[in-house]
Amino acid sequence: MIRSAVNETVDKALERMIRDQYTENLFEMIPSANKVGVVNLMEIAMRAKTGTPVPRPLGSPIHFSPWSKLLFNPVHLFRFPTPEQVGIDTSVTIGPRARKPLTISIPVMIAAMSFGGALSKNAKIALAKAASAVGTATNSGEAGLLKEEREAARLFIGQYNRGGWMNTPDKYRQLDAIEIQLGQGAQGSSPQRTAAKNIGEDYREVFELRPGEDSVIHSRLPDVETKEQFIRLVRRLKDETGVPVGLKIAATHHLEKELQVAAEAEVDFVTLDGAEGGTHGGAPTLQDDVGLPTLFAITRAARFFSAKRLTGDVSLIAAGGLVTPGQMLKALALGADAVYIGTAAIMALISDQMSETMPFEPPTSLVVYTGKMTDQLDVEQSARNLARYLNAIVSEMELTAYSLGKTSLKDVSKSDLCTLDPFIAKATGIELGYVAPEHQDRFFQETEPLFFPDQTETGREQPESVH
Amino acid sequence: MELPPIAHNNCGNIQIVRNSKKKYGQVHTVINLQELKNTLTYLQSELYRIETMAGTLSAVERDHFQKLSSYDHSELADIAVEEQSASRQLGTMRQMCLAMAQRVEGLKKEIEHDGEEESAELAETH
Repeated sequence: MIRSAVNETVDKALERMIRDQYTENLFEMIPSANKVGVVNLMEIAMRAKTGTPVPRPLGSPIHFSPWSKLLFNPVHLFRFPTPEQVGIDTSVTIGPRARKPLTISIPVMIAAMSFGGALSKNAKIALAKAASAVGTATNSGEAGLLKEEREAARLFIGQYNRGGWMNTPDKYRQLDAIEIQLGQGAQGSSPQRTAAKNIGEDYREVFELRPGEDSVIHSRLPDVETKEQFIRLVRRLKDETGVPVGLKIAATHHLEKELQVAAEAEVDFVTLDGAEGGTHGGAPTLQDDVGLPTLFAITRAARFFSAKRLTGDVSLIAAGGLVTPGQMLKALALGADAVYIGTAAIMALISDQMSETMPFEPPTSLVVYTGKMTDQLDVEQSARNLARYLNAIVSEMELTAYSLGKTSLKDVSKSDLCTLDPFIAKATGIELGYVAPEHQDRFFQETEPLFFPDQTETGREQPESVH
Repeated sequence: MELPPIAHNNCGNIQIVRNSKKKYGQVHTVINLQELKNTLTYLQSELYRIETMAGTLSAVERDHFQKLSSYDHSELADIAVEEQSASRQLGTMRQMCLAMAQRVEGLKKEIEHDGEEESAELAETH
């Protein structure tokens, strides 16, 4: 009976869609949604409803970095794979020049996601416990010092932030590394505000806010209006604490100019958050239309440090849209010393607890500060999930290292990659997979007119005009 | 008469002599350089010992992980994951020990260098 009713309804709907004028047809939804995009369509409606920027969670859905255009090169005979009885070294030291460097057991750390601004206390504790279990670090995000998080984290990186909540000695002296936060991939360096109505008692306490006071992240760091003031701040924090002091910025086409200042300040590490970076909620324009993709940011920064002879002295940390272990290992191969993961870590954390929220609430309602189901998050189970996930992704990286004939993840480099894109080959210095290594130059010479027809024309004309 | 910053004691060892003003007048802090060097050598050899032990234990843990992974049992699989993580962390300890041993070596060289310089200065004065 149901079958025949459905059949009749579908038949009638199809008939109407074929018969009715296109402009009055329900089917017009399909091409128009296709034109605008389902995400954009909904966000247009949300903006129309509220009149304010839409706080889209978890960052841009656009895949800016062409990670799939890079492939690792396994070895068999000319160089042999690593014997399976040999252990792959996965440890990394962040800020080796610091008086108290930070050594982690795996090259993956938990990204900056603040208590209150982004996540609930339970979620932060679960992240810290998982990180401690596998010997890596977690990050405070732009927040004050959450005592329970500090206690659960064996290695804790804190953000000296534009809200000023971690910027006093009583707080930053409790950190294992200090990350001066000047921007992030999903927000650039724009200001952010959390309304007092979304701030609970525990949040107010950690951020030291008065009742009714909004929490504000300024576009600039308090008391840093000049390059010299930034340099002085870095040196002061290094002298006072001895722990690695680094800089976090949103990746940008001005990258080298920013890194020059960082180099002058003698930072111990630089965190680059690509345009794909996640967030608890940010304006879609900042997520989709601002910044530089992680892949190119890392490549350019590694080249800059190499030119300045800073490779190995200043650690490079990649962040932003790294979801698979393959992408993470590729970031390491391009020159990053370690990577941060945020979205993937959250998904691993709540993996088997999603069923608690579905189908009426999104899974993130278990972990975001304003979520309706944060008290239902099983902290111990979540920490175990994330620890297992971290173990699994590093194991996959190790398997790749065996195939590359490497004994340490630190040894995986650009020479272990080839690319399927001639432009990426030119931009990054990775060899093009289409032709043998010895034919690379010839390939680019012969195909130059195809890639740069105008330039080649101009190039041909130039010698004549010179003469 | 003020003591020189570095002088030879009766046993022929080099000593660092620091003058510091305190509430009740001048206090001399004497650090026996040879003793310091001996301590650093001891710490360095112990660090190398820990490094070797961590390396061995890391290999044992890796072996345990492989053995435990072959059973189709969820609890054993969880233990296997912990063993693998422990193996990595012991590997990290190994690297940390090596880095610390290198720092100790640097300190020893610095002390030797300073000692030689000061001895030469002292010989010139005499």
